[in-house]
Amino acid sequence: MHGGATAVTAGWLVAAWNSAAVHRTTILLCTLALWEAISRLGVVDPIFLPPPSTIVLAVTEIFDDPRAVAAFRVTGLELGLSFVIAAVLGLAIGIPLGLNRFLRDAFLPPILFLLSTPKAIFLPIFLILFGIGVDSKIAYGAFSAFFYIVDNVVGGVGLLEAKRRRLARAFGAPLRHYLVDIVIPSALPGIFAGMWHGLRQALAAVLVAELFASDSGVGYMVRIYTNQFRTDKTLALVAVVSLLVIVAGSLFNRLEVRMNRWRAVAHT
Amino acid sequence: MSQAVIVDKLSVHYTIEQQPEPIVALDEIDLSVKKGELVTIIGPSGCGKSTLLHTIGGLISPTSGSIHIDGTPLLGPDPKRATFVFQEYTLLPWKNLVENVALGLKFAGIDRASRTARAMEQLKLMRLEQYAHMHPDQVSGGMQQRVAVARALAMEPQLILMDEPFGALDEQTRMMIGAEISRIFTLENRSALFVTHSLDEAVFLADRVILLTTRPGRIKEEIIVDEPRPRTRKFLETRRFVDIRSHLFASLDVPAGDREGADT
Ligand SMILES: Nc1ncnc2c1ncn2[C@@H]1O[C@H](COP(=O)(O)OP(=O)(O)O)[C@@H](O)[C@H]1O
Ligand SMILES: [Mg+2]
Repeated sequence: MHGGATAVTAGWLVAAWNSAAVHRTTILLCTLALWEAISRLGVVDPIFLPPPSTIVLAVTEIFDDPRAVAAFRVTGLELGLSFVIAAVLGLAIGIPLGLNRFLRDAFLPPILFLLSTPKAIFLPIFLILFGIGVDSKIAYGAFSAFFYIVDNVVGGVGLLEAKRRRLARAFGAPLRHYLVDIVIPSALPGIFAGMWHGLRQALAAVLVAELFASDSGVGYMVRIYTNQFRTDKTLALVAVVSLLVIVAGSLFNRLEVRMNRWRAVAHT
Repeated sequence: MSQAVIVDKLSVHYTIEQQPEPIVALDEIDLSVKKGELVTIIGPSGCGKSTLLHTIGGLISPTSGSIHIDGTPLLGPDPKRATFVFQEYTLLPWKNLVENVALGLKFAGIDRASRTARAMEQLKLMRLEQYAHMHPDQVSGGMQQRVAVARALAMEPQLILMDEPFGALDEQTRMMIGAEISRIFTLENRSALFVTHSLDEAVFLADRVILLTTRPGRIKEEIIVDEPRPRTRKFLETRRFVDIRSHLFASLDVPAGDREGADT
């Protein structure tokens, strides 16, 4: 009886030791504790690196600041619109390029070239063209995300097998059905990868643009808080944005699993 | 019986880049299939069997010659007149079995209720109705190929084109599906051209067996299999079956070393 209980405890410990999530959480908690310690013991100046507990307090503080709340709304709007524009254009251009070799040979090289160019050097041009407000952030975000989406959509459509093209032709698929019933489902892995990279790219672009020149948004608030030497509030903004990205990522994963249920079925 | 399809002096040449001489895949093939007739095509690998089928179905344009289905020329793919069953099942894994069977009907613009009803009928005919809502990956290869046959039958075409449809299946499954095909095609009075590399399959299914020569593909011989359909496995043990099979085997004229391979 006693021996059995010990075995169960040992088994539980072994399971915990073998769990990647347990390791990850442990490391994270240790880092936070160490950070808290060096900051509180004055090893580093808490003004420059406030302890995690102070940042948690700052999070509640910034949500009391109407400017900060408005900033999240503005950045969310910029991100949403830039992503939608990039996604629509990315699909509308990526699918034809993926399906047609001639179009691909003609137009994919310049897209790949721009994909590998640091987009930040174009930022001043966007500010000149669209001004300092939200328009330039939306345009620059869409511009940055577009290339990632196109590249992945083209790759995804490239997965379409010759036998499926032949099936569509033999069974007389009209273009609309060819796209909806055959091309897009085949290309879903690439489309999802493109959307996820595009979303992250758009967020990075919008934030950088706000940091560079803006009159609203999260990046703008970061500038305000750093100018006031409020590192705690700055890090609180960073923490909230990171958390939102993590939540978005797991929602995205869930959506992908749902859309690809037939693929999951194939593996069981 | 009237003719379902007439192929007249059909030639197909493949031109290959940087090669002056085209490959003559088919050379002046004359061929016809009567309504309700099941014609099997057999011949050495590379002799142009797939080319013949794909051309008759409108996927390849003939270099010369013509194809008429039910009296009108066929100029491109037209699934209501000639429908394919491919060797690779080519079912769509993201659609369940009824949706796969209904695919051609959907492409033809038929509304969901009627196409589902028609697809279910075909699945019933194949005795697969209880699997209607499963996905292709959840059923066996033999069942997948029967779904591909049902998808073709659902179009109610004048001609069904089958290119080694059961080549990837084991012998037992293949004979079982063969008997099934014999039953359904007879019941529904379907005309079909059926390419196979199995002598047993060729004789068992056919009203007529067409033997092609090595490249360029020409018709070497036609053999009538005068046995009422639908047929059962018993036919495989009859004198007539064995005679026709050995005659075909001799006509295939494969080099001695390759003989074993010819009927597998
Ligand atoms: N797309 C193509 N381009 C060039 N040659 C081809 C093509 N398709 C088939 N061939 C050639 O035509 C001949 C007939 O091929 P195929 O019809 O596939 O024969 P089978 O189905 O009897 O094995 C072969 O020699 C093959 O190499
Ligand atoms: Mg072939």
